[in-house]
Amino acid sequence: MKIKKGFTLRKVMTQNVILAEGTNADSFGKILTLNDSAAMLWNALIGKDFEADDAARLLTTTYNIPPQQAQEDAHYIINLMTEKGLLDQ
Amino acid sequence: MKQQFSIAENVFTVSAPDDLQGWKKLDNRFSPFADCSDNEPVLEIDIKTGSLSPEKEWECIYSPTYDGIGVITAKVFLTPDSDFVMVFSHVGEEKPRLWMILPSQLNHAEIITDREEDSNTPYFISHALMIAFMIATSANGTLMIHASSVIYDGKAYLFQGKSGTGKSTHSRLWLRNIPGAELLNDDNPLIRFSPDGTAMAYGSPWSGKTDCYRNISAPVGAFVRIIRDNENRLVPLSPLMAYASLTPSIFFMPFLDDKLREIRHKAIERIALTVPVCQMHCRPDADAALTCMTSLTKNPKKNK
Repeated sequence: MKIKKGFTLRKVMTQNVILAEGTNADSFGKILTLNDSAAMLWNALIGKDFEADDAARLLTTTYNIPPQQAQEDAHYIINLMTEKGLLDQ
Repeated sequence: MKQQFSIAENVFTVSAPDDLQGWKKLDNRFSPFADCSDNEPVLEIDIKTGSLSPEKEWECIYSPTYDGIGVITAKVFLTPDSDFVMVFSHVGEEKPRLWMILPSQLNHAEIITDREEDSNTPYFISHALMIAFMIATSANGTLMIHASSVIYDGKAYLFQGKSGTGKSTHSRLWLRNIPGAELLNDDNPLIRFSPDGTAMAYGSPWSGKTDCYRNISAPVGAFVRIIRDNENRLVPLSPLMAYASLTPSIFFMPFLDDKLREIRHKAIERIALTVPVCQMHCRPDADAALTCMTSLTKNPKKNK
C-alpha cells in the first residue's frame, strides 16, 4: 500500500495535522490530527510502497515496544488511514 | 506604455502595447491602484501580442481538474530552463487563449495574448495578472483569499465559503441593514501582516462579478465562514479549526516549491492564532447580518 498523493503532514500549532493542499475547492478543510507515532510512520512511509509489517517494524525500533503490540498499533493506524481515504491499497 | 501599481503595498509594473484593447478595458480595475512611489517593484509584467506553441521539452506539471469554480483554466509547463509556462484557456476548450512565462525567480512575467482580441481578452489578461501577482507576492507572505469583504467601524470582515454559498449575499445584507457598512471587495481581497503584527485586509482589482476595485485597507475584524442554515448563529472556532477553515479559502498554486508553501502555512497559522475566525450559520435575511455583526463586535473572542 501507499500514502495517497496530495496530502501534507504539517505541524499546526502543536498538533500533527494532515490536510489536502491545493484543491482550491473551498469547502471546510477536512483535517486529521495524528499522534506522534502515527506522524512518525507517515514521515517514514510517505512515497514508499509498504506493508503492515514495515509499519510494525518501524514502531518496534523507534519506540522499543514488543512486536505483538507494534503489530496491533500498526494495524490500528493503517485501518484508520484507510477509513479516512489516505491510502492506496 | 509602462504603468506602476501598488496593491497591498506590493509595487509592480505593467508594460503593454498602447493599442491593446484588452488591457485598456481593465483601466477601471487597475487605475485606483496607480502608484508613483520610488519603491522597488516586486514584479514586472510585460504584455505582448502573439502566440506560443508548446515545445516537446516542456514538462506538463499541472493540469487542473475542473472544480466548479470559474470559467478560465490553465495548464502549467516547466521548461528546461526552469521557467514556468502557463497556458490559459476556457474551461472545456482546448484552444489556448493566453500564455504566461514566469522565470523561476517569479519576479517577472511575460504575458502573450492573441493578436485577435475578443470580448474575453480582458478576463484572460486580468486572470493572468492576478496569478502573476499572487505568485510574486507569496514570498513576502501576502495572501489572496476567496471571500467577500465589508468594512464596518474601521474593521474588515471577510465572508468565506464555496461559490454559491452566499458570501456576496451576506455582504449585501450588511450593506443594506447595517448603517456604515461598506464593501471592500466581493471576491479576492488580500491579507498581509503590517510591521506591528496586525492582519490587514486590502482591496484589489479582482472582485468577481462586482465592480468594486477599491484601494483601501483595514485591520481584519474576523474571518467568517458562511454556512447555510435555518437559524442565525455565530460559532467561534478554536485555533486549529480556524486553520482548517482558512486554508481552503486561501489561494495556492500547487506547483510552487516547499519554501513558498511553508511561508503560506506560517501566515495562515499566525492568522488562526491572532484573529477571530468563526462560522456563521445563517439564513439569507436581515437578521443574519445583524446577528453576525452584534456577535462579532459585542463579544470579540480572541482565539488565544
